[in-house]
Amino acid sequence: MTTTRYVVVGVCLLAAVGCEQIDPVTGPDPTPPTTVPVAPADVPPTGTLQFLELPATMRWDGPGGTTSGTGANQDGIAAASTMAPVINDYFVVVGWGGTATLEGYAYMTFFANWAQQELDLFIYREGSLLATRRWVETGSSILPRQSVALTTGELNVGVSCGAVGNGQSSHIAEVRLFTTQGWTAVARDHVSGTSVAEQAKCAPPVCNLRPQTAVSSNARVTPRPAEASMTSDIDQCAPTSPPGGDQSGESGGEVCYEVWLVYPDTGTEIYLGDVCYGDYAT
Amino acid sequence: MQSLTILLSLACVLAIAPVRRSIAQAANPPGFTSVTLVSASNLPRGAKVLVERRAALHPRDVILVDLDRATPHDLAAAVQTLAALDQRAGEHAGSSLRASPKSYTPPRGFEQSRFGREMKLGLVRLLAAPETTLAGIGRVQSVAITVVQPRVGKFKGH
Repeated sequence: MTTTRYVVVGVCLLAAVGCEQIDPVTGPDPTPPTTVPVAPADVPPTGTLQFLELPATMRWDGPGGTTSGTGANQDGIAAASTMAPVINDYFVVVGWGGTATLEGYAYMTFFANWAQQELDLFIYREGSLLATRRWVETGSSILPRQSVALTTGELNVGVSCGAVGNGQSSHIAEVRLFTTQGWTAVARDHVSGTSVAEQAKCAPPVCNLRPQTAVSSNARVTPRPAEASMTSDIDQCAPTSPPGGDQSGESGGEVCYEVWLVYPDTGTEIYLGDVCYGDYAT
Repeated sequence: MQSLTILLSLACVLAIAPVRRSIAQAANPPGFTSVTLVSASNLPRGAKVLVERRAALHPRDVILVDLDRATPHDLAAAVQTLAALDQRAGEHAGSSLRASPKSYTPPRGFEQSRFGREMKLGLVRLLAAPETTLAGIGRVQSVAITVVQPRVGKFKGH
């Protein structure tokens, strides 16, 4: 009976722990580790591998993508993987078994309009730089593009990025791995930006850049299981107030739209008219 | 001794209850609304997003999104259109409606607002969403997102 009591109390304590808040970005640290870091006690679980089919315009080798700089072998075909990547450190160390060959992909997501975006992906093996790739693009982009380096062994992945903004701009970095099993997002975090000129360091989750200000930033990325990463890092971060940013959270705006009445059985549409709706001043 | 165990079990249930309640609230927080995004291409009339209110189907509120062309701005316009349909069904309440945003002025600070981030994140989540079967549409990539409940607005006369 004593044992039963212990079990009940134990379950009770575990239930009361609840959901632990994931800490946001740990801050800029461009220095790669010199040795393989020690895994922390609370190792995040391996995320479910998820295949992310990018539209053609968003693939690195697609018609819309442009890459530059030297990189590792882009044509390599990943060997069969016998197990999913295991996240074992907060500086994106990924280890795996079998004969898997992993490709590291770094993504950046941009708001607003940019004159030029740059993203460097560094892959380290046991502290040594193994591969790097620079990706440069001009124009505006709202969804991730990617850079690639191909390697084997235990990896540390570092991301460095910079951009020249045309206006209120911000960016988010994300690192994913690709195996023959599919995609897994091993890390995703928001980049803390610092200006080479006058831009002050700003806090995650997003970074506002002043018009025509050249900025660069480095960040450690925090491993997350794929499920958590895909849900939303943004939602997990408490809103911060970047310079000039509006964190009011208000939705709405003013929209004008056309509306039709639809008869589902026949597919017939009857045009009802144009309507404008929004927060108009009285 | 058995009664002590029962008492502990009861205490445990009471301790868990607030946690479960907070999880439930996190899933459906007040002031938020859910909408289903569906990946679609070749939308009619060259639209980047299309809002559908389907009277007899579940999910009722669907936003068709051309992922190759739509921006967070477009998605926000669709969400606001949906809010307008909510408020002004009139004689067509209970009917199926289809609406396409023509122009949109986002709220101030949209890019950095929670709303703006939700719109952007919605596109990314749709991009990564698995295929599911939706009534009336078929097998498509879709995801249900939760957005800040749009504020009640006004209609401009035509």
